[in-house]
Amino acid sequence: MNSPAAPLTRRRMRRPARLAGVTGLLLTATLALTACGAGADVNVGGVECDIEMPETATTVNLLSYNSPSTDPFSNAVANGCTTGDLTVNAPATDFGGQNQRAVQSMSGSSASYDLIEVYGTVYPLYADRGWISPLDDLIAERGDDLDLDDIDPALMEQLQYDGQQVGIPTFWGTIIFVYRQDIFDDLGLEVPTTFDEMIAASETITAETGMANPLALPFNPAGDVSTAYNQILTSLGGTWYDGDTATPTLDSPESVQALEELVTIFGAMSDQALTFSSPEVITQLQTGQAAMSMLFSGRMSALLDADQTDYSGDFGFAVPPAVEEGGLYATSLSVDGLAIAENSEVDKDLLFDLIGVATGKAASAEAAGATIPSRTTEAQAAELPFEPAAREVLESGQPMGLPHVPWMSDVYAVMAPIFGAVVTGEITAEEGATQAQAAAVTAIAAAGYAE
Amino acid sequence: MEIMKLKQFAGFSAPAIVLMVGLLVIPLGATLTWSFQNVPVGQPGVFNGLANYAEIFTSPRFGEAAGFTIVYTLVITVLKVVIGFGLALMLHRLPKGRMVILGLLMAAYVVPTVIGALNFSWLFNDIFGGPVNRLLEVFGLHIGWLTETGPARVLVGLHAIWHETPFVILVLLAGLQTLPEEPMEAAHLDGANWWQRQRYLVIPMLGPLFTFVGLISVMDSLKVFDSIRIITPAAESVGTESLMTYVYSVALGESYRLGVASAVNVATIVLTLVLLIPFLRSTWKGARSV
Repeated sequence: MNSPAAPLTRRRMRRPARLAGVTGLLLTATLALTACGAGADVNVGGVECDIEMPETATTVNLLSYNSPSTDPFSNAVANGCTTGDLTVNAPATDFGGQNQRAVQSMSGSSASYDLIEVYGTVYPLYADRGWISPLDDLIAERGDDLDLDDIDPALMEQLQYDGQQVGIPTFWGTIIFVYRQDIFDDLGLEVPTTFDEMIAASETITAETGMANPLALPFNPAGDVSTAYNQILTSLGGTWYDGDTATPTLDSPESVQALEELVTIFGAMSDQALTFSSPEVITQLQTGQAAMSMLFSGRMSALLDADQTDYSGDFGFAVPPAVEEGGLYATSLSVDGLAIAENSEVDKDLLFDLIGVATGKAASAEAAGATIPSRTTEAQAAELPFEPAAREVLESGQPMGLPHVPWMSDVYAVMAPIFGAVVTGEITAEEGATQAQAAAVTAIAAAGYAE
Repeated sequence: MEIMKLKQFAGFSAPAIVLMVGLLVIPLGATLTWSFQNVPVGQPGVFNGLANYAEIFTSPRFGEAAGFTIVYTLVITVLKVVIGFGLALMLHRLPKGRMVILGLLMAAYVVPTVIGALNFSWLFNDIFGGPVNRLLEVFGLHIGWLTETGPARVLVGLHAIWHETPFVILVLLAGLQTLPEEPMEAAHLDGANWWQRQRYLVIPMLGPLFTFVGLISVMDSLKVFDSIRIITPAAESVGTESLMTYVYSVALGESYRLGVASAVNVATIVLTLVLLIPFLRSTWKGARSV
C-alpha cells in the first residue's frame, strides 16, 4: 500500500499542527540551551596593571583552560589590563580544548593566541617545535621588575627546556596525602609512611568504623592510573627512559614492581576504583565514604569548604607515603605557567609585561584561596593547611613529575589501557611491562622522535 | 507558473554552495589527502601511501571500535524504532494528556547530551548514590555498570535509547495522526485484527517515516561520541570505544596523528554509506513511485 495520500480534513490537521508547534518550541529551547555559554569570556576580578601601554590599538589573546586555579591569573591580566588602546581577551576553554587550540594556533603562520598556558606534559613539545619564545633575554633585562626571586628555583626549572626558560610559573602542586584526622586520632593511627602502613590503616578503619572503602585513589584508566604508576615508579627509583634518550625503560625490574604495586593498591580499594578520577575521590572524602587518599594539592580546597562538606574541619594533610620503607615519596609535581607564542605579532616586551601582571603579587594573592601560587610570599601568607606538606615534598629535591621530553604526552597517552589491564588482572605485571615498553617505542616513533 | 531565471537561481543558491564547499567539500578533500600522509603535530604532511590504512586495518583496537560501533548502531536503531513505535501507538490511543506526556518524554531529548549522560551515569554510580544499584541490591544483584564490558555497553545503549527515542516517538506520532481513517475502518469491517492492521496498513503507510528515523538513527549512532566520553571515559579499557572516540584519541586526545585519524574517518564515511544503502534504496523507490 502506498503512503497516505487522502486529503486531510481541517480536524485532522489540528493535532499535527500542534505537534509541529511543540516541536518548534522544543527546537527553540534546544538552541537556546546549547547556545548558553558559547563565546562567554572570563571576565571577573582584575588587578592593577602598571605597565607601559601600547601607542596603537592592540589586542592580546590569552589561552588558558578554565579552573579555580588558573582563572585568577587569567582574570588579573584580562580585566586589569584591558584599558585604553590595549584589549586583553581570555576566552573560555576547557582543559582538552586548550591544548588543541594551542597547537592549532602556534603551528600556523599567524597566532590566534599570544599568551599560552603551559604545563609539564605539553610545554617540551611546544619548545622543541620553537612555538614558544625563550624568555632568558627578557628576564635578564627586566626580571628584577617581576621580582622573580620570590619564585622557588625548583619551580622555574620545571618550565625550562634545553637550558632555556620558556615559561613563568603561575601555580604549582604536588601529590600529598590527605586523611580524616578525626578518625585517625580516634583510632590512634599514625600517618602512614609506606604503602603497607597505608593499607593497614585502611583495614583498621574498616574494622573499627565499618567504612567499606576508606582508601580511594584516582585510578581511572583514562589517565589517572598512569599518574599512580608514575608515583610508584618514582618512589621505587625507576625511570621512564634511559637517561635523556628516547629509549624507554618500561620493562625494567622497577617498572614490573611498580605494576605489581598498582595491583596491590587496587586490591585495597573498592572494586569500582577504576572509575575514580579526582572528582570522584573528592566526593567520597566530602561525603564520608572514604577517609584517605593521595591527590594533587590543588584539589584540596574543595575539602576545606564548609559549604561542600560537613567534614571540612576534620581533614589532615601530610607528605605522601613511600612505596617501601626508606623509599622516595610516591608523589608527582605539576607546575603551570605562561609562555609567549613565538608566532605572535604583538610586541614581545608588552607580552612579557602582561605575564608579569598575571604572575604578579596581586594575582598570586587572589589565587592563593584556591591553589598554591608560585610566589612563595603569597603562598605562605595564605596559610593554606595543605601548603606545608606540598612544600615539604617540593623541597625534598627528589625526582618527581613526568620527564620533560617532547614525546612524553604521546607515550603517556597509550599507557593507561595497558596499566588498566594489569590492574584488572587481564595481563600480568611482566606482560604489562613488556606491552608498555613496546607501546612506548611505537608512540615515540610515531611522534618522530625515535633514536 | 513563472520559471526562475538562471541568474536568479545562481544568486539564491550561491551562498549555500559556497558554504557547502567551504564546510564540506574542502574538509572532505583535506581528510582524504591526509589519509595518505603522515601528518605529525603542527608539521606538513608527507605522503606515505596506504600506510595509514594498513595500520588501522591491522589494529585490533580499530577492529574492536568498528565492531562495537556497527553492533551498537544496528541494535540501538532497531530498539529505538520498536520502542518508539510502541510508545507512539500508546500515546495515539490516549484520549487525554497526550501532549503533557509527550512533553515529559521530550525532556530527555532536549537535555544536552553531556548533561544528560552525566546525570544518567550517576543513577548507576555508587559514589553518587546510584539509585538503580540500590534497587538492584534489593534483588541481590550487584552489577559493575562502569567497570565491566557487558554492563558498560548496555549502559551506553540504555542512555541512547532514553535520550533519542523521544525523537522517534515525536515523528511517528505525527505520522499516526495523519493516517486516513477509511482504510482502517475497511480493514476492521473485513475482520482484520489489531496486529494485522498494524502489519498491513499502519506500518506500510508510515514507511517513509520509518525510513527517515532509521536513517537519522544510523547516522547518529555511527558518530556516537559525547555520551561515551562522559559515561565511560576509559572507553578503550571498558570496551565501549566507538569509531569517533577512537578518532578523537588518535587525532586530538593522545597524539596529533592526523593522518591515521583521517584514514579512520574515510573508513567511517564508507561504512556509513554502506549501512545507509537500505534506507537510501527505500527513499529512492518512494520517490520514483510518486
